[in-house]
Amino acid sequence: MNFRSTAPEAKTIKELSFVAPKEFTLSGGQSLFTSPKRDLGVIKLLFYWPYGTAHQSVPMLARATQTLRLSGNKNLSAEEIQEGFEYWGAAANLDVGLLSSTLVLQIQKQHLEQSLKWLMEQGAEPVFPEEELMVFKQVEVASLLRRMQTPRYWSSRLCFETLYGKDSADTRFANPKDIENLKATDLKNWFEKHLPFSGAKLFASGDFGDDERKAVERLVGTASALETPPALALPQNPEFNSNIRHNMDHAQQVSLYMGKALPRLTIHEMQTASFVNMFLGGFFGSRLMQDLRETRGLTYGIGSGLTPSAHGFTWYISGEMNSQNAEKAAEATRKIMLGLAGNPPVGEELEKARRCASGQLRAGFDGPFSLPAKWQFLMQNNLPESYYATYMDRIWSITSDEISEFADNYLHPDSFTLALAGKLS
Amino acid sequence: MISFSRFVLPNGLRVIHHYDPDSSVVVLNTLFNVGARDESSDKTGFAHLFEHLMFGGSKNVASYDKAVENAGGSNNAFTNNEYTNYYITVPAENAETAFWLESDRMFQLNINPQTLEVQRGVVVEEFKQRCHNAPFGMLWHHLRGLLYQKNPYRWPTIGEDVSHIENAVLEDVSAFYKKHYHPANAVLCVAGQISEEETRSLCEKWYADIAPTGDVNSNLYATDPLPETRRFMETEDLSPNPAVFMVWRGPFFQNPESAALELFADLFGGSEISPLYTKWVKENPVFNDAAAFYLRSNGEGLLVLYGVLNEGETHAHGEKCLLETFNAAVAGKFFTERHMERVKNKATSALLFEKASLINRAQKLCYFENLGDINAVHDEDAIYRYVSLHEMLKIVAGNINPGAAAVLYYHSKQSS
Repeated sequence: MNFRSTAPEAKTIKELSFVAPKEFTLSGGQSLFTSPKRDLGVIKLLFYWPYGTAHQSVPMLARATQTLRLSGNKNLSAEEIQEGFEYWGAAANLDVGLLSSTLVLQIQKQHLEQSLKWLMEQGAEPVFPEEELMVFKQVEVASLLRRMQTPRYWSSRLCFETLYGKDSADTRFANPKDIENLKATDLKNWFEKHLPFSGAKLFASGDFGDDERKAVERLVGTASALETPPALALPQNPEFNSNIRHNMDHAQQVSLYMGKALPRLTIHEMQTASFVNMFLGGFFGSRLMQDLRETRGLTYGIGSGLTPSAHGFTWYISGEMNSQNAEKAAEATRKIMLGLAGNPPVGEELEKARRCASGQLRAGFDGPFSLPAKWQFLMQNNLPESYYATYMDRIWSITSDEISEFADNYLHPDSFTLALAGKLS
Repeated sequence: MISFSRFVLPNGLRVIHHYDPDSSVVVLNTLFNVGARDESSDKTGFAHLFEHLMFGGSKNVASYDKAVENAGGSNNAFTNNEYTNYYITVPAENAETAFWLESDRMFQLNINPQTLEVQRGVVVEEFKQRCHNAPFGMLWHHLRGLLYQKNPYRWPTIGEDVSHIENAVLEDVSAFYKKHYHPANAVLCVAGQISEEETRSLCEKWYADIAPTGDVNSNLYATDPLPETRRFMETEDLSPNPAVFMVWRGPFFQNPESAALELFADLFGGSEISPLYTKWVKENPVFNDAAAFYLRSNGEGLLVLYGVLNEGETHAHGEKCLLETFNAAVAGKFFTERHMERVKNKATSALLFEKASLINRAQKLCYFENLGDINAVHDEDAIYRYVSLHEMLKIVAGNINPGAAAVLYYHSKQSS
């Protein structure tokens, strides 16, 4: 018998074992979470603030402030500060999400002291120089205008703006005028209130041991706890079941974006939603990918996911396709959504998704820098440390009927907003 | 330092083993020594299309993806001008599934009309998404066309024209597989939580009976002489901002001079404190974005400078700004020993972070083995260390003729 015709036994992954980060309290009161030490020669030190674009008063304020926080102080220019990092081979990567802002200092272990000292000294009191803000505006406006040429930009923007309202915490898409109107004083105020080092939580990963922890203890300033982020206003006049069409003559494809606002879910519901999403468009074997890409070749990629919103999550579906196929793809997507309630996964389909989800859940903890992102997710969603272990249990305990019921409650296509942008045929 | 052991099966498959006790997974990374440069000029985009077909199942595996998912794994692949790389990650206890899947598609891929038809459609949509729907999406089509006349580097990996993909037929696809997809033309790296003994045993079991069906790629290609004068084209793009791109051909990856060009490009235009950016984006805003980089490859490297023009600025002025600043940099106007120390530290950090990832380590080991000297993986950092400021500038001056750039002007197309 041909030995190749028999697949090796694929064992199921039912347990999740990882060393949770250790939490330390620095002398000033900040939390420092550390991952197990790995002998790599490099470290990532993440600073996390619980304020993002959802909390800003005008579009782009949070992003502009975080981007420019190292662009000059009363003694040094942006170039001088940046040069100080690069000289030690370090990088300070800045980012802003809907509900948080982060700074990741990537450092060689041997240069931790110099790089971190530099960050603390030069980044504590930024002055947001006018000339740097001007360059930021010029670069961002040009970049935004380029993005505005793509169907994907418009399908997602129109979908979110319809779903939550144009001026809600979840949207606040910037127009060029918004960027041009940013003021340095507003940036400074935003920084002082929301983004001082003293208010950050820290996550260290990589080659980070006791000596390095002591260096952080010594160099990171004392804390003054930030206020708890205020409750965000509910979106005004949220709409659903909207069908938006946006024609772009120059485009060669159509971008499809569907979205639905979900309320804050219980842990149990969140885990169910994550797993149900697997079948919709959450992995290569999902119904959307298999039908629209692998069976019919209509798209290079289509997927779905749950992204945090100000008051819960947004469930979205997104993909690009040929103009002639767009309405066909939208209709097929609707049928797949309905099918999850009427024809829920059973047998091989359910088992395959369980195996895939459990393997990927475990693999997500592999590697020296995996833990901070996992903990950031917990923190952002007020979830307990046990979330991941219980998710593993949920993957294996959920029934077909539960999937059907959940899809029936949350995934009806008529409760989603659909936006098609691009060359409409 | 990446520790590894290496052995070669009688069929020519080179195997690298790399043990990582901290990992819970096993990675199998397979590099086939075939890329876009191995295509004929009327069938471009073929290597990449073929990458898609490799997921269509094989003689004993009805569905590759289902089997990966069933084992709790994940997989992906990429193609470039020089090679095609496949990687699969599985929980360590399911390592053998990865051996089964990867060996079976090397042994006997299931190439059928239905898979070809579907994947042609998928790749055509990928072509449109990447090239037609994105600002500057056709950049490499234009630049490579300017740089080469005979050399197969003149088309990008996605293909020169979408019609080449639309017209691909089963016969061509089968011949491509037979010629390039066999053990003697491949390198396999097995990395992660798996012993060397088990790796050897599983390689023997799953790969030893796969016979080579073609030759080892000779890596010989038609060459073009280096241009002696400026080459120029202008075209329209959906970007609302016009732009100027300037490109030169440079030394290939194994040549240590390519590392010097990489360092130079980073210093000259690799960050917001580079002279290119500070001078023309910040101090005198001709551009709203400007950068330089050296694209190292084991064919030829490419030095790229570009600037995205602000409203009211002309292409000719933009080109002059790029070139004058470049000439000043090569003449030693901007850089000191401190700059050299800085750019070397940056390069070393980047390498260390790259090597922190298990998949990256597996891919690096395959890459260097394919180049013919796997031990060079230990010297990547050393290459940066040796070069001095004076030597770096001399190397740039010796390789780059400022008057012989390929120059591309992008004009803005009016759009809705």
